[in-house]
Amino acid sequence: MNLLSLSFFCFLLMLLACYYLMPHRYRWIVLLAGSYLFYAASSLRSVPLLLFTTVWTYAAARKLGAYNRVIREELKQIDKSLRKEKKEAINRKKKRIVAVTLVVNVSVLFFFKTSYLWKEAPLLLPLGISFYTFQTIGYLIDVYRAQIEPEQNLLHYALFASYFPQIIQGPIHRYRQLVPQLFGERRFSLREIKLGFWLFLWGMFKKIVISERAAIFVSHVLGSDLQETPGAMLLLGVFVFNLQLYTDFSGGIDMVSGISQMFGITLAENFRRPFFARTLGEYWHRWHITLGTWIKDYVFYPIAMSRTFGRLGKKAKDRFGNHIGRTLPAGITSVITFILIGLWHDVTGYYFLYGIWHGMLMALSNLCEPLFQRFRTCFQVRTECLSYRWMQRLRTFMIVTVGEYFSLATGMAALGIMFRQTLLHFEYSSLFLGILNYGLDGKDWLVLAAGVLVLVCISMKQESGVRIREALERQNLYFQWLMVLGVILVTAVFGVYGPGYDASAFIYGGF
Amino acid sequence: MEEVLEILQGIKPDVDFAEEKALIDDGILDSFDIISIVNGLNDAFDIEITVAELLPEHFNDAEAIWRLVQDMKENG
Repeated sequence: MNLLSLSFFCFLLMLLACYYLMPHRYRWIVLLAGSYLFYAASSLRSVPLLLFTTVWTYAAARKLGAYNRVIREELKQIDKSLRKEKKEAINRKKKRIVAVTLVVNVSVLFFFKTSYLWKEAPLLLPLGISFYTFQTIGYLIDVYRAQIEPEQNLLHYALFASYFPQIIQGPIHRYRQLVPQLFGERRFSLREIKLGFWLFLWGMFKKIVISERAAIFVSHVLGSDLQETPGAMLLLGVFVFNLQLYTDFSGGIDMVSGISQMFGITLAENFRRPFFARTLGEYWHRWHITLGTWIKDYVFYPIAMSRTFGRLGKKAKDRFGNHIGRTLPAGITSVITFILIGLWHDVTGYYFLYGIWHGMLMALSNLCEPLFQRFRTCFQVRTECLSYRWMQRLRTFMIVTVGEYFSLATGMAALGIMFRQTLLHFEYSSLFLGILNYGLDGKDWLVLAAGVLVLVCISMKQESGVRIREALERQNLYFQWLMVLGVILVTAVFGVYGPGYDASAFIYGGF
Repeated sequence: MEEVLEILQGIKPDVDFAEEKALIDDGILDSFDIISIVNGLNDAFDIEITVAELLPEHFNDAEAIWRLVQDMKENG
């Protein structure tokens, strides 16, 4: 369903009315019905798979919960010598359940994501499959680890798995984070609706005015004959792609977070101004935060803390000293993790390289930290002054940009040409002479620049701790309305409305 | 407790672990640090901290880490 269509606005208004008119204890039913209605209207053929994943993971978690109860309650009653043996036997059964469920869920995801490799007409990816798969796997592992109790009510669980604002492109929620909000008591609050609407508008501005406009330039640059495209133009294209991706994804998240806030439910933060990051590690703490923490908890830690990596760490410590011993296992895990992130985006060699690029740099920056520290001490480098901080930000942005070359290339040959042109045929003058030949005219560039300026100013304010919406709330009502109408007007006049404008048209909706 | 502080200080010398109360929530410790700390604790106290114990409430301050170590020693 198109998030910016009249039908969606009618749907939202009806749902809000039903939600707040319903007694507290039945409101979740409205959300569940609304979520499935939204999902079916967006992609009817994807509903059976969502139902299958929901029921399968629900049943598996119930079984795990039963075993947890046995370990917690019944085993306490028996003799200590027998307890360990029984506990190990139960843990083996738990492992089997998790392993089978993971294999099934991941295989389904893998099957759809790789269909283009073995099918002439690739299968359309079921809407939001990655996000609800990750969310339900996370839930299952939390139950396996006995960190949460399994949900007893299948319909409650179905709402957790399908809550409509977040199902298309995240954020990926933890059960403990979302469920208390979905079923807690909430009073009708005009303020929450207003703040949610403002956030929705801001996301819409980012998506339609900035991202959609940036997309035109990017597609023209990458769609041109790369052999003839000057390196400067390619580099600008990749810069603008960074901007496009960020404003598309974070704009979409702002829109759905705003919608959710209208129901009194706060979605997890997914972006914290990633281009202000001073290191690559910090960038990944600010970009797609919920995927990062998901990967950390369910992939990174289990690998890095495995016995094999523990032994590796000990050997490295004996051979190369404390620092290498501590950072080598985590470094290797980091490379593996980023390769997996790359492959999740797309199962091609170039995304594999994207993973290697990020993983290797993360690993090397940690492994070589003592060297960097010595260098900074030796040359008396001040690390907390403004110029150094901005140099770090620029460096991080450049590292991320180089990484995007891997994700944008359509093949190894194209990747080679892109790097060759950038390094050997830069031709910076093309930026002045040819910039209008790639889909955007002078007015478009002005609008794009103005949009980016607004984005940067607001981001800088947020970085310094200002809460923009609360600051706006403190202004006169006239001014608040002026701003709201201004954003709507600017979006209506300067927005780019391409074809196929629906809920799944966000870049990450396709993952 | 002193031993825990020593391990933490060895990994992040620039952090005042006696005072910090939100090591995870404030992003002071990253995942590389957590792995180093867990390895250090496992070695020093002959325990085996598993992934299930990696909750923010166990690593937000030195006291909580110390409590986790005690708990692991008693209950395995």
